[in-house]
Amino acid sequence: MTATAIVMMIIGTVFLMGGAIYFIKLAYDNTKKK
Amino acid sequence: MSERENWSGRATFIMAAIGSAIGFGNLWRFPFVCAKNGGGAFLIPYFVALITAGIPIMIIEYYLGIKNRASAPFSLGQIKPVFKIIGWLAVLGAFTLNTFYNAIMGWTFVHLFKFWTIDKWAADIASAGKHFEEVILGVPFTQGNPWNFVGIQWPLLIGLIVSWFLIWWIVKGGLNRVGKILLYTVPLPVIFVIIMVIRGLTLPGAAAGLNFYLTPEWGKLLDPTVWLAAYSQIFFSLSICLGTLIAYSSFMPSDTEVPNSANITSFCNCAFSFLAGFAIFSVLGFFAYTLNVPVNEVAKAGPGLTFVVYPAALVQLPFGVKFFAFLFYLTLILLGIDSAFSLLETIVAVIRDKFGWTRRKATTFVSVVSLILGIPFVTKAGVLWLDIVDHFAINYILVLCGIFECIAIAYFFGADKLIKDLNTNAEFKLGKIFKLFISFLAPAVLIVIVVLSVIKEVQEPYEGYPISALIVIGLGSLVACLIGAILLAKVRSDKELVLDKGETILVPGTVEP
Repeated sequence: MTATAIVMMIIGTVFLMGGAIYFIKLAYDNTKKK
Repeated sequence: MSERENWSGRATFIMAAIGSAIGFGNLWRFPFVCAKNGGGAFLIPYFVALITAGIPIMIIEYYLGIKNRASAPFSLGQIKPVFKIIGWLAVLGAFTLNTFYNAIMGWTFVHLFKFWTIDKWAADIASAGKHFEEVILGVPFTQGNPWNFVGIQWPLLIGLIVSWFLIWWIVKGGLNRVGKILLYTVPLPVIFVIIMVIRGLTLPGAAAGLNFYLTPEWGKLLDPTVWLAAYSQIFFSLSICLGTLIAYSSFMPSDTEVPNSANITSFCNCAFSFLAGFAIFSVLGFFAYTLNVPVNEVAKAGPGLTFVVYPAALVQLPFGVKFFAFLFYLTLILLGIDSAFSLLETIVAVIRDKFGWTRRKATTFVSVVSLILGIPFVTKAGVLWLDIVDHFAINYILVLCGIFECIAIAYFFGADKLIKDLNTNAEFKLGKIFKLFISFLAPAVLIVIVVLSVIKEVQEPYEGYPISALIVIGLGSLVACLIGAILLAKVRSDKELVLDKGETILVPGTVEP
């Protein structure tokens, strides 16, 4: 794979999958607090 | 009227919304839009579109449903009665979409039933193409004329009936049954796609496929059509503006958290699309490697991918051909089925609000009528009808509803009031920038999309179809939905849901400062 394709793969993964996990965790922590 | 049903919890509601958003398009559209519009560079406009339009409109829809606990026409009608028309237009869009969405489910069922003989019908691209077009669709017999029905494709009709029976049974069982089904139809496709990604990445040539998918062409960022493609992709993949998310959220208590629920739904949907790209392009890279051709020669989007190129690529796998063919079509069925029953639920919810019918009666009525109206889509000219109706009715209805939903909330209800109310129990607080997105940016981009699309329609007939077919089938279905929406908004029923203004926070002026 080219270096730029690898960089975009990392950016996409961090933003989309990282974002999904972050928001799920936010909801989970909030529910636990209640 | 009986008391409104409730989801068993917030997790089920979010899962239902994710299931509704993730459909065929995530697998067969996103990876190609991305590859065609700058590869990795496309991710930048895609992220911008997600944050400035996708999530804000989803937040509006969740808010409308949760605060009013009513379906789209009744929720939007609370802002101003004239906006009931927009709600009905969205629901009629969902109804029209569901008539042919189940026909596509029918194609998928037929392929699933034939997975065992995939090595015969998909030995190469030519045989797979011939099998799909002649044996499955029968479209060559129409000579490209949508008026030349020729006859019904019986296996597709059986597939259509199987699909309708399944979603009728699921929705008839109420939210309890829907919730149980979602436990399988949402996580399983994710697991299956991960299996396909692992298999794909271990194949020779996979890297070339991924380079085609992700290598950025930065120059494309200066091309406005790339930005429009990003907004369109976000807009059409999130299940917004069809009344579905309003109907689903209307089954939640009025103190449900909104902004973070929308974030979770949108990010999960987009993350799945991104992941699916790896499953698709790694295998296409391998296929190009076995044929010794560049990846762009085998890359094809839409039904051509799932029913022609991908099966032909699977047949070349060193082992497990039948297993991966079964897994692929089962994944498609699971992706499609929760989108299909969310569309049915949207219509059932609005019929119950309008006429006070029982769930069983409303579900059976809608399913039977939709099944009958779906028969033209399983004739030999069905795929041509599907293409025209999808292009004209669905695309324009979605965008029009998006524009008017933003206008209704931002200018008639009040963006500040909305933000203040949402932030009272938000896990993710909304700032002033949200106001800019819903009052200016999202509607402006959608208006540009409509204007450019109309100009293109006038300049050249869509896909070269006969003008009579474009006017009667395409424009006809759009106008029928518009007239239907106006009539349904005007006509009152004895058992119609009446929202007490004092009970809903959505009445302007009732949010405490």
